[in-house]
Amino acid sequence: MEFNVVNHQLCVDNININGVASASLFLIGDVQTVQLASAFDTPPESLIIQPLSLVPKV
Amino acid sequence: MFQRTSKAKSVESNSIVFSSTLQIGDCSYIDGTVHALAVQRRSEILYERDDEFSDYEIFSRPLALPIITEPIQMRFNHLCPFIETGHIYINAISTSSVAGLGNVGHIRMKSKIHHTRQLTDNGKSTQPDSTKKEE
Repeated sequence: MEFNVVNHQLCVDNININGVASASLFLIGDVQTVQLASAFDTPPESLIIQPLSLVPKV
Repeated sequence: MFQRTSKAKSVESNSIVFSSTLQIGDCSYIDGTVHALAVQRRSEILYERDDEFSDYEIFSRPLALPIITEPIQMRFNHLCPFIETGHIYINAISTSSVAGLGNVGHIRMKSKIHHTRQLTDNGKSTQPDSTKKEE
């Protein structure tokens, strides 16, 4: 595959970001390759409602 | 291939925490990984043996990264040698994140997060977490 890119002027105003988190990326510049992967687990069973005791786990 | 220059009037960040980076300038590789166990426990109890990454399957399962295999002939024609921005304000950069100014060769970022909430409600039974490995 042939991929030709012509980049004209790129000029942006102010940038305001609240948060960049959990192996995220914010980049101003050129890059050759980017690989991103994420796994986020919040199963319904992860909400554990129980009396919390001082008995230590085995 | 990379001849464009990034120009920013200013960069401001309130906090950069947990192995995060504010990268100014070119670099060859960025490889960021985060493993996080987020436990919300409505109690001031600390167990002798608390949960570990090995207790949950998500952390041992391999992440499916998109593999770069396609042979692509890339040609770039930069008519303007600059990428310009105004003032940049990032409130927080957290947990292996990267905010960068400049050109980069290859970037790989991986994140694995498991959330658990442990609340008290006296008398009610509880279900075991099915995503947790059997002992």
